[in-house]
Amino acid sequence: MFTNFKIAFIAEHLKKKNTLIYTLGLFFGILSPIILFISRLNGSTRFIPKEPHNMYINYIQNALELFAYYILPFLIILAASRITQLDHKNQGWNLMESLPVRKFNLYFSKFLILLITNTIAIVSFVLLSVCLVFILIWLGKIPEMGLTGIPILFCVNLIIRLLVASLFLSALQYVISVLMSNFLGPIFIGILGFALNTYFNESNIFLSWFPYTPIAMAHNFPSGSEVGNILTYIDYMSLVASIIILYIGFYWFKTKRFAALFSIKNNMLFKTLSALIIFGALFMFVQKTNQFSSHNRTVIQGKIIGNVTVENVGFINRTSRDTLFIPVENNGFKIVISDSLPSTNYRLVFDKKYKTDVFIGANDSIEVDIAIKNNTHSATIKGTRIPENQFLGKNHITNSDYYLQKMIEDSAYYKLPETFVSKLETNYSNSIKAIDDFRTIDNYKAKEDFILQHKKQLVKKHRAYLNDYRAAALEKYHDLKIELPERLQELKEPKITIAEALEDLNEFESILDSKSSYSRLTDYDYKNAIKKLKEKLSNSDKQTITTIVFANEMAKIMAEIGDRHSSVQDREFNSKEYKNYNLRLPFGIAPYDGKFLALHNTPNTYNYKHLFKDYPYIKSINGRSIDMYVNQYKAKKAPIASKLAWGTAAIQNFASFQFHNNEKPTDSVRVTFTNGKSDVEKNIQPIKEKVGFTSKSQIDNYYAGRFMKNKEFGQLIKVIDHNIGYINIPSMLHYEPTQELETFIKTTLNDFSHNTKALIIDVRNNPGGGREILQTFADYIVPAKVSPWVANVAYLRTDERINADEPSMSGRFLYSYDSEEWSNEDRKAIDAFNSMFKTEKEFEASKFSHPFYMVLRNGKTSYTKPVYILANEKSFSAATVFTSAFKGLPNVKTVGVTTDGSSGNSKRFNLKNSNIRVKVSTMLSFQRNGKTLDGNGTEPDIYIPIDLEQIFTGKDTQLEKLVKIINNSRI
Amino acid sequence: MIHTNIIDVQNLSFAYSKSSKIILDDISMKVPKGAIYGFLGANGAGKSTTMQLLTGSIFGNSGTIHLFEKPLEPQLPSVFNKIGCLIDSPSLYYHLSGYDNLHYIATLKKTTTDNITEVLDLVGLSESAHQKVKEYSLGMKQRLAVSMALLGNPELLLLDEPINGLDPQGVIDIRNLLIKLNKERGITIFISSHLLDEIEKICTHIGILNKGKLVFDDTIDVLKQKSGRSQKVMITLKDAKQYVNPLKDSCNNIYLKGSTLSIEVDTKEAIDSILLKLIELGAHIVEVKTNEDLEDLFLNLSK
Repeated sequence: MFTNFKIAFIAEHLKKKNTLIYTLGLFFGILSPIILFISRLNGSTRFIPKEPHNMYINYIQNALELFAYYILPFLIILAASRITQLDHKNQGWNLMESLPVRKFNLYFSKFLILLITNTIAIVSFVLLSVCLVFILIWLGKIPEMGLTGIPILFCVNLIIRLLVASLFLSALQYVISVLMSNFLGPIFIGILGFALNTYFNESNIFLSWFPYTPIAMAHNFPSGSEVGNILTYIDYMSLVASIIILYIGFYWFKTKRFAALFSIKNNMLFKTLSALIIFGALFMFVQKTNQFSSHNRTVIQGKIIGNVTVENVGFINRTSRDTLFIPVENNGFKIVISDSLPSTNYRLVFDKKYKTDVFIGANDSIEVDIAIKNNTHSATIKGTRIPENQFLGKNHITNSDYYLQKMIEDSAYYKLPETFVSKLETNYSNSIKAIDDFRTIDNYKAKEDFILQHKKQLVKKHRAYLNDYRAAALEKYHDLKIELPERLQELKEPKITIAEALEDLNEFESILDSKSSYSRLTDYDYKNAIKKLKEKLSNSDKQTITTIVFANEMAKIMAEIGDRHSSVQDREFNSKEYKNYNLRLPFGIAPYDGKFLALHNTPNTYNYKHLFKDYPYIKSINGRSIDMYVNQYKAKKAPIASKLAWGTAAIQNFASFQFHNNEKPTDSVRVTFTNGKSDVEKNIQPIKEKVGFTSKSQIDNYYAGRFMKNKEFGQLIKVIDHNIGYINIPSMLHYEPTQELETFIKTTLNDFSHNTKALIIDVRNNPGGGREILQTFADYIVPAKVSPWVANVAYLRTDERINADEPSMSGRFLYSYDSEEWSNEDRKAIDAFNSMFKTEKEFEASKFSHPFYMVLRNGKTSYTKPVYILANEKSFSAATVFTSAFKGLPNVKTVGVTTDGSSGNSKRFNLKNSNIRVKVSTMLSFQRNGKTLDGNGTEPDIYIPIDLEQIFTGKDTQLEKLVKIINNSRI
Repeated sequence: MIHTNIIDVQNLSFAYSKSSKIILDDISMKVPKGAIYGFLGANGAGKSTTMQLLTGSIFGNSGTIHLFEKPLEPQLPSVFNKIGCLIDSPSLYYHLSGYDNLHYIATLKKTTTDNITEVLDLVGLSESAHQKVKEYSLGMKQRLAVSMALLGNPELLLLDEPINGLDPQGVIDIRNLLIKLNKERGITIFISSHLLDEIEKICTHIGILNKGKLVFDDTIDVLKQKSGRSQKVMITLKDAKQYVNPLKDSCNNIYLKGSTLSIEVDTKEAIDSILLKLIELGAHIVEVKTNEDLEDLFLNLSK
């Protein structure tokens, strides 16, 4: 039987003598690589990536564009026609009716010739590409990021895949060319299919059952399967489809009538139906989408390729900022995570330099391989989350997005809300379809948790578009009505059901119970407050609650606890949704001496005056005393001066103040002004402009911060009469990446120790940051006689009584008693400290770690002159740790106003249903005097509050007074 | 010697579809081994269709076909090892040489290159064998087609209009070749044609197809006997009309066709006396033609 096929095959080769069919294949195969070679010789760098890549694979992928989209399909159309025309033209079919050759052998030996032509084209394509790249390397034309190993497996796999992928189109064109005797017919059909293919490519339409698709996919995915299969599912579909087509084609050819396929004669009906059922089932099976099954553990692993050695890999949860360090061995890393890992976006950071984002959750196993060359990198991700990570890697900004943005910016569109809404709906639907329909080349789709998260993001994104448009359009056309269709109803204010809110409240409570540190110290019964809130929600007649209202309620509870780093934020809140959100009081309020000045400024200057000279102070707003407002604000548990500063600043943004108190903003505001003896009430209209009070020192701090960021450190120091060194630290910047800052501080202190008689360190309005600056100063200003100096004690909220170093604590220079960081001398100092140290408030030891200590030691060089640390009510976080750490040193005095002390090591949590972000401190931080920083701050040794002159003219009288004190003291 | 029938057709009927015209209506035909069978019929009578049925290109609606005493269908396509065909116009590959065309067929028929040289010789194409067929004249193409049928030493030749397009010498050559092959190798030959001359010269058996029915299927001698019962003479003369009546009594039948009298008599001698009579009557005779061949019979049978 095989011999007869062989004979028919040999006969066909005799028939095709002089027809150059195989030569055609060779020519079509070498065309694309040669074209690319010429352009590369001419120096073209098109499509050469800037990241590390393999030269051969890149070259082949580029050459594949022409080959897979145009050349190979065209070859198939042409060759199939040529092969069959040999017999159509010469009545060969008639001749063969009277020759001793089986129709089967005849049909398939001709088809085999077509396949051989394809093979010649494909193999010559790959081989020539490899040779040409070899020549390019030999000529020295290696792109910067090119790696030069010959990828044999890749080439073999590509050849196999192209052969299988081209079966579908080959079978189709062959069958048509046999059935249609006229030359143009099949060519015309081929060109039609060809044109459709081009159209689909341009429009990014993907049809898995279209004959040109498998070949095109070889270009789109040159490495083929991502799960280690030889063929992708598209290739399998090509195979199955080609078998079905050849079956139909052959029997149609043999019996000369399509209807004969279904005749009773020769069991054709049975055979045809069985074939259709079997191959139809196979087709459906191949089409079925897969999802990765769960792994039994959560594993992250990978390797680093390239000539670099990587020391560590950081694994960071991008929402909560939790970080894990994975050790690296032999340029490979692996970690098994035992806790339940929440599914979200994470980031892998290699040596703090190279970053790759990954999506992963519990029971996922992923492998991240990173290639590093010349300070750039490229990463590939494999494992159980391939679809998710691939989807995230795609660029999802479309022309439609640009158009929507245009409509938001161009006022010509503001009176066409229907156009905008229609475009928005289309973009929204298409985006949803994109994630629902997304499949990898192996027909895997993303898991439900990812799809859900992504859809929530889409809602957020489109809600932002809607709100931006609405805000802009309403400004111009006040009566504009924007109607939302059914599909876009979910873009309105984010809402959750009452049941979901109750669930979130449980989560909120559990965060406070188990994660928050300051909840263990507070007298406030937050559990009861939460219970009351739950009751209020359950008893209301509403079915849903908007997330912002919900967040506002939880924020009120949070504020009572006194954790100054804590917050409850609806991250999806967009103020543009609320028309009057940005209305402000048309004057400034400044706290002074327990009262509240009403001020206004001359524009573009700093020159405040009383709003009403005869009634300088504000007594009440809308019938409520201004003290009440201040005490309502979320800084209610801060030290008094801070509370007043924050409160008055917030009240100035009066509409948003009311909004976040879940009160309805009013159109006009009744303000009562007083002079202490008599009052006057005015009806005030809130305005959009910002005319509130900002202190000069705050403005100065802003500019100083800019200098610091831009490394213009010289602007931060001066020598004041007479020989008083002054250094302004506007924020506690980390030394990474501003390494020069450390050198600058050291140099400055060295210089100052020679030519100054005293040093002022100004940390007013400093919002915090890291403790590195503190360490640098400590070297200079901690005198040897009190060194080692225990500056700060902290306890981490944990149910395990840990007594070992912990990364987030070490990052704050807080180490456990048994830490290797301490010498015996240090421990002796800690022991001595502990003998007289007592926390002002007691707390359950079982809920916290053993204490962590920050111990400061004198350095080699000292600044021996007196040091004055100038701080105010807006000094916060690390700046207050700075102030508190040095207070009590014999050569240091703290000056100014009690700080807004706070030190927390905060963590972030997203509530499940509302996605509201809850931030809480996870450590208690105590000053040397046993008081927490939070709620107490550090009191100044020399009290210099802000005075009226400073408020009105901006003159830095606080500094002037300090200088006067220094100059008058005996030095 | 037992006579075997190489071709045995029984009650074969065929129409292209139920509603179209019936091409063959209950045909029965036997071609004995060693015969040269002439298959006659007017154009469109169904000769080519019959050839296609014999090669299994198409299948009849009812009846049976036996080749080499076995049913046809199960023997397809291996039976073509024993058959050489030339059906319709010759199927030749124009881009190949004559030799390569034969080589192609020889490969499929599993026969040697010596055989190729042999058949080329038989049809007289040895010199032009290596020219491309597209350069051949009509006659050369026909000869090549015949040579293709001869490849593989077939036992049966099915030839449809084998001398189409040949010049007079070519006609003679092919005729002699067929007779030689038949006599020397005992090859059965089935020829369909509308050229009565040729058929008469070489065939041993005749089949006549008319309106879907086989109206004659026997040896040529039997046919000649049938036509021998009456003599026919066609006399073309001036004013032929006026001689119809005077001659009526001297013959069996007399027809007037234009200026030709078609006269049937019993014997050859009777023809002589009619001629004499006409001369006596002073007729101006243009042409006298006697039909001893099949044309008449054929025409008669084809009415």
